[in-house]
Amino acid sequence: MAKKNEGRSFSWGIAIVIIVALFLVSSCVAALVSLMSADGQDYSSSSGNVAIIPIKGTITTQGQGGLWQDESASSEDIVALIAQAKENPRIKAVIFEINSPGGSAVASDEISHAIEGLGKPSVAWIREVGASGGYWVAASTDHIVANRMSITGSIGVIGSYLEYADLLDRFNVTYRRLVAGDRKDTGTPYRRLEPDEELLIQQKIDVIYSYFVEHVAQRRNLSEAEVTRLADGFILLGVEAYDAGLVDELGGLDEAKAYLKERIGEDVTTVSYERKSSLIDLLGGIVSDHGFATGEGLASGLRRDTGIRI
Amino acid sequence: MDIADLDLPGQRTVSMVASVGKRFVSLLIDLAVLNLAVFAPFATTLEGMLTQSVTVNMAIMENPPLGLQVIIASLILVALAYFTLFQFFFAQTIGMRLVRIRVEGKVSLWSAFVRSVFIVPLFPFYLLWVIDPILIIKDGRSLPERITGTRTVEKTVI
Repeated sequence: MAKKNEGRSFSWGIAIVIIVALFLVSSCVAALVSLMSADGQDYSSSSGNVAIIPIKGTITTQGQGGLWQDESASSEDIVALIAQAKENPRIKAVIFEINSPGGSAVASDEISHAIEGLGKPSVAWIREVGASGGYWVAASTDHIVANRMSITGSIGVIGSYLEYADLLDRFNVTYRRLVAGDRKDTGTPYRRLEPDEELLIQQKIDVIYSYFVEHVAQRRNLSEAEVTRLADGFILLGVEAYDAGLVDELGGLDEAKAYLKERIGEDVTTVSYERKSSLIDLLGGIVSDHGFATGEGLASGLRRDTGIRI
Repeated sequence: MDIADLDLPGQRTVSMVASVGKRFVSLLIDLAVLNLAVFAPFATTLEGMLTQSVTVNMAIMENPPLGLQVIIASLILVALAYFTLFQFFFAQTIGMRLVRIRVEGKVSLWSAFVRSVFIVPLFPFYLLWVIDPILIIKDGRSLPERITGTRTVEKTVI
């Protein structure tokens, strides 16, 4: 449709409507892009000299946390953030803000190795919970600060699961066992666990437990005997952990910053290193691949997860 | 209201080709309007994608991530929509209105769009930034205006 311009008058009302419409389009696009581009955050130009990396929720390798799932700490993401902090010359130290009941032994170990390879001073700041795998990670830092009421400790491994064999029998449901490799379905909840199988699984749990004890003993400068005495799997409050030598200082962020100020010899300005959830993360969630996962321990409360966790 | 609109006895109003200066000022005003009212939502998102280092930003722009490409494309499309819609509906943008110049001739949606393509910072459109001022100074019409059979005029009372 062509119009001649003669006689057409400029209408500020319509002009404003057009501007508002374009503004709304811009806002929608910007919001969408912001959500979809959560990865690849670049902290190289940030002004802080101490990075704060959060470790919140169950520790898993790939994380989960859509709109309908609990928050989890992905070792993939955290290791990437640690690498960024390591490569950034402005960052002189890292504070790990821990609020985790534990999770996957593999994921906890991945984070621990990354912390140990950081090459810069690090502090674990335990908030409400830093237990089991959360404590495994904290033990890798140079200094652990916890609130006197923080839940920590829970040094142990859990592999408990619900066995439905009797329930299936009751309802005449048959478990058809088709395996190649006699131990292939060991630990399946659909049949009874035989004593020798229980022993085998227990051996695996004991191996992971020994790694946990060894790690804490090395990092906390305690004997394995001392750690084993503390490692009955039960939780310790922050004040108890401090008395037992598992925590260095009672306090919070201020204490963590004060420690680092002394270590790095300059005032501490923090910058948050955090992976933002993308739109895909929020809408669909990411299913964590637990694999041979370890149980969460007492501090986590009731969960549906099965498998071995710390 | 312009004195030219009063059509007083003894006065004649003629349309003259709008000067380069007025066109340029109207463009600056339009860009300011776009910046304030339409590009603002992208500011926070862009802050998260770009850094404070010019060198790093240039490196990013050489191989921009998908999100940044979407934003750049959106900025271009929104700016195109602004110039196209205003010229189609009113034969003048906000900037043109304020400096009292307008489009003369048949302004279809297509011709309004063609008149607006100079805003696209891609080849071959950015060549218009050099070609158009030369053509306007020479005989008062830019290349898109020649293609669409329109011209940008200002009313003068003689």
